Amino acid sequence: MHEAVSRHLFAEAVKGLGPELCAARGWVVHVAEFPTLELGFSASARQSIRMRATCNEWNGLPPSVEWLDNEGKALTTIPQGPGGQLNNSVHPVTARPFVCMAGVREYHTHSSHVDDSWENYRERSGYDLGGLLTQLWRVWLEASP
Amino acid sequence: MSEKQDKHVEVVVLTTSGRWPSTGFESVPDHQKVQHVLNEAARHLHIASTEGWIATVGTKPLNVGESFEANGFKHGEVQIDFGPRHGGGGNA
Repeated sequence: MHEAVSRHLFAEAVKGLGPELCAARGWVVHVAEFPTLELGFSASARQSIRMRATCNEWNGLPPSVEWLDNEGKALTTIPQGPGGQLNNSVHPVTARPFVCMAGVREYHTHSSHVDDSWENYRERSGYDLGGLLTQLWRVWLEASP
Repeated sequence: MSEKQDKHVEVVVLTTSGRWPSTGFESVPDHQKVQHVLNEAARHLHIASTEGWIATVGTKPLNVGESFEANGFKHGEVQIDFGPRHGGGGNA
């Protein structure tokens, strides 16, 4: 993926994260500088969290996702939800807890899913960058508070 | 004999591709189906497909095949959050 194209796609996606949408969803944009997009998620009766999406090679590659505390420090354990997307086992590539869901780099690079290519998803509805952020936010909303 | 007047709701649809309408609210008869408004939003925001997306107001999911009135909105402002559902877990 040519970096200029990745930068353009990233910038277009960031434009969609308007203040009204962020206020409605409890999102705070902490970092939006290519290739890093770092969002804070908060909701009533839940402990807030940050999510860092590293979008180098977007959208030739899906974003790499990491969960952080409110100070920006990587979490060693992540909240658990009913769907199994949030996985506290050690990822074979990153050695960190990871998101096991199509559209996230750690899913496609995990030995269990290397046969399920990002190419199967990248043109689908909901797998643009904003769509993936929305999916990740919904996963977090369903996880333990 | 009095003629029944349409009641209207003032609607905005928020997505990660932008908002519709671009400013303010769209005045919509309360008997309008929610799906019609979502289709208009997708068209204006150049969203190619909204297959599998969900629409919510606050934490309340909307029945998009029903009218605003049937969803409990008979007047006032309605801010719809419209986006994809999350995918399933991979069980790695």
